[in-house]
Amino acid sequence: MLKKRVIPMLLLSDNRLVKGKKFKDFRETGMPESAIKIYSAQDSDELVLINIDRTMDGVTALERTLKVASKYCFMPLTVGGNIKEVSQIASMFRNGADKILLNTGIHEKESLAKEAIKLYGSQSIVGGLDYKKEGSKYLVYVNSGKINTGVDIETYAKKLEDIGVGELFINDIDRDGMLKGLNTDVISNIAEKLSIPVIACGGVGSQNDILEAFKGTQVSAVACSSIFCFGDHSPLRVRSFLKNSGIDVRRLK
Amino acid sequence: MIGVIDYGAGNLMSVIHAVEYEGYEVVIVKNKNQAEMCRGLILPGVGSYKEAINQLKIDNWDKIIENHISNDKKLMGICLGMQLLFETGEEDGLSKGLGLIKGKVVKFPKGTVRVPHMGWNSVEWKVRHKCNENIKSGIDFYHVHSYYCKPYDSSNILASCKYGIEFTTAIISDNIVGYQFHPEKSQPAGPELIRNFCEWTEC
Repeated sequence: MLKKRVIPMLLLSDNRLVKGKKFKDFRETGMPESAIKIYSAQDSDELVLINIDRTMDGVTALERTLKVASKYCFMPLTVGGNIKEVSQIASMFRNGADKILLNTGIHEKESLAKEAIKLYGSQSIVGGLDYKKEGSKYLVYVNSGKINTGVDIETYAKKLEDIGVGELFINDIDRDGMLKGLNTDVISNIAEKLSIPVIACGGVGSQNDILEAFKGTQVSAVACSSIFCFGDHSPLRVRSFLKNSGIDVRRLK
Repeated sequence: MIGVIDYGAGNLMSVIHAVEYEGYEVVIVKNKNQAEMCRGLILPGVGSYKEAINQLKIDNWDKIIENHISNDKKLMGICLGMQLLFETGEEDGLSKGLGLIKGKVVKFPKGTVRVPHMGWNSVEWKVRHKCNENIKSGIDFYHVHSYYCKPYDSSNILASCKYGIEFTTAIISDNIVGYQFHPEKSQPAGPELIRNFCEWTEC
């Protein structure tokens, strides 16, 4: 049986790790290399590394971090953030990435994802989707949550699935960094509508939030960062908590 | 020495780092001469079957690999690299594989499970071998694939995994081992499988 995954998400800016609230007000949380070493020592299920700088330097720094991480991190590594060219994707794969998360890149140019999927297979491309509530609707935002596409989350998610991405990573902008719980209504709806695995992110403040998502929705994985950066939680502790709560998590040895 | 075959596709660095981590000398091999210096070759692979097999054949890897095996040296295929060892694959239309293992590579049936099969899933060993020494059944390994291998001869099945159906996730023959999952991405047990392979190449 396929196990539920808990994925620490690391945001890179100017060679440091940061974490914000609602995609703003970023605080520094440490050095990427040391954080990655700790997550690796704790046998985290996976890692997601995202560059949040809108510069070419940001992509270069992401690649440099990836290179270091792949030396001792024998776990799946997903990278993303301002990736706009197939050549950048190729370079990330060469340097140890397993999956590339494309968000604004797909919105601007669907062919970017299609070409990458043709070359590397659908399983290697994760479609990123950031959403926010507007009135009674959930709409998709791009460019680090700055530009409203006007498209509702369900239509957008379906579109990403049709393009052929292997996984969908959905992030709730209003809940980001707030530690008040995941948006289980949205997660439940999207996971039910799609046939590819869905990773939910945005709002995890406790182990119980993760448990709730696994119990109440069909989500395949939960990604989080604040509870690991600012709390005393670790992937190891979360995994044992989930196991004791009846969730199927992986066996290491 | 262990050689990781570079045929232009995929994530070579993770495999190389995992071999190094286990204390074995490893090189990227790009041609026949380099391959001949290696006791063990690793065929990695991320990508689509058709693209990969075309690339392998353009660079003559089908012949180099056949030659390597007939000299009683060892080969390990990982993920797509294991699938390529089979006779045919149906990704992007039917194409011929390397044909070193009898059988075919087919897609997971639609509708019953989410495809790709992505994540940690437990592996049951069907036989004991130098390659899976000290690795218990029931440990989870990281799988990422939409197609799976159907060996024709059950003696080639080293391990199976359940995802909607039960499928073969590791294969074995006289001097070939293959893993559908990624040992180089499945710490802590995965790197041990890589060490076992490295030791096997010295047998």
